[in-house]
Amino acid sequence: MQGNRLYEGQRLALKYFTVAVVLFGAQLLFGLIAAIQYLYPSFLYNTLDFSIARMVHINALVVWLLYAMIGAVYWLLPDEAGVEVVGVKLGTIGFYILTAAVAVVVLVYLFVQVGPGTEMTLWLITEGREYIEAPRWADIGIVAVVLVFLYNVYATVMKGNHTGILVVLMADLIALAGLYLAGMFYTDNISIDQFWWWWVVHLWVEATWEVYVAAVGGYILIKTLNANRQVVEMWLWIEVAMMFGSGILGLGHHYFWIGTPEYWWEIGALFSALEPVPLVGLFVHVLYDWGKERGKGNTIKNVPAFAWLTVETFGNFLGAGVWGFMHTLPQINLYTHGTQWPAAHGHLAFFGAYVAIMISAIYIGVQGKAGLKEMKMTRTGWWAISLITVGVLLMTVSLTLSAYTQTMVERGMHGATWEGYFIAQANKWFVQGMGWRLAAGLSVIAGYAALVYDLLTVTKKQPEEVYKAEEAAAQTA
Amino acid sequence: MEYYIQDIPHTDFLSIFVISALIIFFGMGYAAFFTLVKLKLLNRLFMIAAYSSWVLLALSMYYLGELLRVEPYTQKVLIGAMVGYLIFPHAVYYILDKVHSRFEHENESNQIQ
Repeated sequence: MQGNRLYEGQRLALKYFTVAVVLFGAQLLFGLIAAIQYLYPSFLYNTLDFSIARMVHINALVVWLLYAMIGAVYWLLPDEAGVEVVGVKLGTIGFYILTAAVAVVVLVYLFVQVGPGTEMTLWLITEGREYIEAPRWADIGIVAVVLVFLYNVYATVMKGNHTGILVVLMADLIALAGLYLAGMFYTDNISIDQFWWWWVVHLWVEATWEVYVAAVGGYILIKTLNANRQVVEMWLWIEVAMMFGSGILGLGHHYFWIGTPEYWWEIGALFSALEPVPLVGLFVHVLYDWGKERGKGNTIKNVPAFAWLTVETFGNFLGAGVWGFMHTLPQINLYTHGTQWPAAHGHLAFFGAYVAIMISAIYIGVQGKAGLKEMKMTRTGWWAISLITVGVLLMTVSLTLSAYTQTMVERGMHGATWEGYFIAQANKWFVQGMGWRLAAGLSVIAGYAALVYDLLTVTKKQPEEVYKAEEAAAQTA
Repeated sequence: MEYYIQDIPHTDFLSIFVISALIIFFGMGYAAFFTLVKLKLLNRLFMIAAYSSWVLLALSMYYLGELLRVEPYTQKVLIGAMVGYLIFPHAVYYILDKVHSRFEHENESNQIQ
């Protein structure tokens, strides 16, 4: 920001944030439909089948997170570099192209749904790869837009300040974008095809996205706590080293399923156990900075953003750490893979590690747009964070109960047979868990409604002292 | 000798899930109590809770290794990792503290001008 005036890059960031919030709503809506279909399989049968609802649910998640991630970079980029984003007009054109492409893809998912399984399906309808199902024409469009984005980031940093946060982001974004290419080509052998697809999402969530979160988290700590930049950046480098070390080698815990040599399972087991260590480190770091700043009598500059960052710290630890480690070692993953365990882990891990921090970044944007030096939490904001967080936690526990039943009955007692699968699906504990999951989903939807309302009104509903402080600061200036 | 993953009886599943979760919680407990005491947000006596958490963490990790029927070499490596984790919060706190005291008075403003 230049005084109270936004950079053009930050205006572009607000556009990205807006679409991200809309797609977040779509993700929740289709998740709700899929949750209902688990209990009532005839719901929307032959109109919007479970496979389609689930596909839109998880693709909307990935796409809205990518929108929010790009938005957060466009927000912090000019602020950190101290110059306007280079190529911001090109970036704006890219934004509109991407948004139009996403709209067309979603319409095709909803109204065409499936193709004949030929090259045409691959190019125009869906590639059929979980999480990144966009058809090839959209893939190429996404690559073009991301190339523009990367150019903007690199050219801006070259022109302006080279802060530690920006340098880490520059390196990470190359890896993040480059990995997408591994999910674009198609091979006739489904095992080889899945092997390459698998690398995209796993190296995103276990390495490059985690590093991205550490960098943006560092920026948010500086903005909300006035944390010391040198400390934040020093810690960022340590986290980067640990995340790449434990995250990449920890991937070995999956190798049981892809036919790599057995020693990888042991490497994977050990480094999986170490994967929560950077998360613990991050937690110690946030706690340390909060304790220090509190001791100095400093107030939090953006309470909603800091509150969501706190949710991120705990959610990441619980979702990625606790729920990940519970079922991830190869010896037990043999029995839990493909049950509701990964669903329980995935819901809390994605929420804790990525959703919460992106909402935090959006609140930073909202504060910056209004030009407020300080922003308190409103009652609606508390409702939003409480309903969403409690909802996701309850959803995770419910899915865990269903998962446990499924693992015991289907895998343990019936040896992973089809018969065992159907017996487990009909088990009353499994079904009850799914029922509680639906209830939890409704809580998240209510929280989302409160969140949208709060994002639109939070700057107009601040306590009187915030506006008085603004006036006093304006007069002094 | 080649090692193969051993079958695990389903009666051990619950213990494995619970112990795995406890490992992460005790790990977190150790780091959290340690940091809070160091920051003087908790009484020094809570350092006992920190080290108790670490002892329970190491025991849980050993027991998990037994439940998963890992080979003896892996069991040793896991315990070695636990010893490493004993040092980890000390090292992190030490680095943070040093960096804070070095930079605290150097630059009060975080904004890049």
